[in-house]
Amino acid sequence: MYFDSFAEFLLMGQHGFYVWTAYGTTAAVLLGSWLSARQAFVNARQQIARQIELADRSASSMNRDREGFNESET
Amino acid sequence: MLGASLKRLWHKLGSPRWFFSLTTPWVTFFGWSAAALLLWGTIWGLAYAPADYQQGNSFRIMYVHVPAAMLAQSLYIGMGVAGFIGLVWRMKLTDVAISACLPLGMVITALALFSGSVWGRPTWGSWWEWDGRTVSTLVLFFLFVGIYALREAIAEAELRARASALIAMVGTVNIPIIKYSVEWWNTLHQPASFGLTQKPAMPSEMWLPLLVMVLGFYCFAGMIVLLRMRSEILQREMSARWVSDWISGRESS
Repeated sequence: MYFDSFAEFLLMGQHGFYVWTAYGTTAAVLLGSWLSARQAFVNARQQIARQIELADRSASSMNRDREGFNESET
Repeated sequence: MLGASLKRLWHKLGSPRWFFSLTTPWVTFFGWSAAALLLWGTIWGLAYAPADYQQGNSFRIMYVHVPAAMLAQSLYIGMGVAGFIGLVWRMKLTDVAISACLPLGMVITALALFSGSVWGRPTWGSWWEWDGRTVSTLVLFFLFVGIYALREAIAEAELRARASALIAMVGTVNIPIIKYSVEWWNTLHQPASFGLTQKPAMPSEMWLPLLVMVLGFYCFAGMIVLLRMRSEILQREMSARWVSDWISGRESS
């Protein structure tokens, strides 16, 4: 450990404000980039899942219609 | 024989489906590597590296500033190469790559400028200097923003892909300007911290944490760019059979 105490570590000599601003911004930028990239992936996945569900529903309702038709025939 | 198999590999590389299944484990790998390296490098750089005899503790900003600036340029070079490949071989995947590099490129370049400014204040005595390095990095930022805005403005996919590929490629002339700016013009900015051919001018307990941080930033970028490319592929191939199979497979498992 370079610093003698935690208080000194926070002060960073005279430069605490600059050092912590730079590191804080970096953390925020990296975290934000990660969250937004992950959200984009989840959104894309959900959008397609919804689309598939809609397609399935319309396909099954078409099948039901066809079954009804068959029943009335027999 | 070799030529034929190389050609096959090249075509495979351009296939979004193949790329998607190949990169599934990579996102996790890069993500955890980035988390571990960044945590390690930050603790090492902030608490254990010795202070600079001239700059004091403000030099610790280097551990976020230098990786951010390196990554910003690398992302741009990546886009330029993707643009070139896309224009010559008409691959779909290169446009996906360009779109995935843009958001990260913008914010990382902004971070490089901002952290440089916060470092400049205690060491140069000013938040901003109109010197070669800062101005050419500002140009890099505007290139990222410009291509992003251009993509938002063009609705036609083919035109959007070709226009952004062309600008990405042409804009790479700015990269050597950034690199040599500290040698060409009189500047306050210090020369490169790392070189491939020379030993760093710093002692190892100062540059080793920097190396860890640089690797961490690159792994982080790997994760983000892959994640964004995968989202973009899903969206573009939405109606393809393999996409619905993949989605249904996920849901049932």
